[in-house]
Amino acid sequence: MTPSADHFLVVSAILFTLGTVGVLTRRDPLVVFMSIELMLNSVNLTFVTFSHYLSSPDGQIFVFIIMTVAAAEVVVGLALIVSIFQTRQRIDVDELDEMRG
Amino acid sequence: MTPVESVVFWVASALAIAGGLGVVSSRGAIYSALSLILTLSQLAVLFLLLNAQFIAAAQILIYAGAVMVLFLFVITLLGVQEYEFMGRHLPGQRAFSMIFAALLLLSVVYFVGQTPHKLAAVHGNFNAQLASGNVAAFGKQLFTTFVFPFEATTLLLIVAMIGAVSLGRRQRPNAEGSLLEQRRDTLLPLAPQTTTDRADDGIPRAATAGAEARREE
Repeated sequence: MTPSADHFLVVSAILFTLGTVGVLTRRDPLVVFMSIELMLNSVNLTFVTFSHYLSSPDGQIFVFIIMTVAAAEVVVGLALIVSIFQTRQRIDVDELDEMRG
Repeated sequence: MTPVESVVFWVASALAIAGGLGVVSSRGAIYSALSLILTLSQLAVLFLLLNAQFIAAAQILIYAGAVMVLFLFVITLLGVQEYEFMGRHLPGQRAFSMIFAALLLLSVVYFVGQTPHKLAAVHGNFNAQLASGNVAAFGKQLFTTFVFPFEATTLLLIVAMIGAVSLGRRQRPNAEGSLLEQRRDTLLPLAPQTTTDRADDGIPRAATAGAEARREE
């Protein structure tokens, strides 16, 4: 079966759902963070698919900017996780409630 | 697509989804990171199938290279922690998240099925330059139409770098104590120290007061 745009979009939807499940069910902040990266990448796949099938480079440029934003987000997020880890021996996303969030 | 490309698509998609399952269901964070590397590299293969050569290269360099190395570095720095897979949760969290995820997947797949199937028929000038790839068209567009967002990302990177440096250098715990204990050491002896300082300061303070008085004269 030759893949069409729908196949790429369904793969992207499955990856996005997996990332959502990871964010909702995991307790390790690093794994939650990686699940967010997975969701970002599935959206990138959607952008590139539409860029290809609509024959326009705009989607690829959007993906390029998303990658930059994701890299900046990873840097700041991991710095936050490391500095939280310095005050606690074990990090659990449900126990980080000092800000009453 | 040629038959070879179809086979590549199915293999890469299956591996990407398997990697995504590994990210969600692995017990240790390091296995999740390795599964995520698998998913990201297979997504680069899918980008190549979609004629996005520059994005595929950037995916390998930035994500599978830099970002995941950073993740693995932090995981090994913090040490391996064992988390029960979907253990101790809010009541009903597991069931609700599964229901929510199933609804999300079903609705997205439904709306993908609803999209007009004119997509494959469109062929503009972007895909016409396939002989050398479309990196040149991508670069031209990036540095003309989208030059302002491109410059804004540079500003964002500088802000992120400054933020990471300031977050990283603020706390420096000693070898034996965590930050909290270190803070307690510096905060608690504050009261007796100030009293002794005041007692010691009596004579110098009078001397400086005398000096100021002399200066005023």
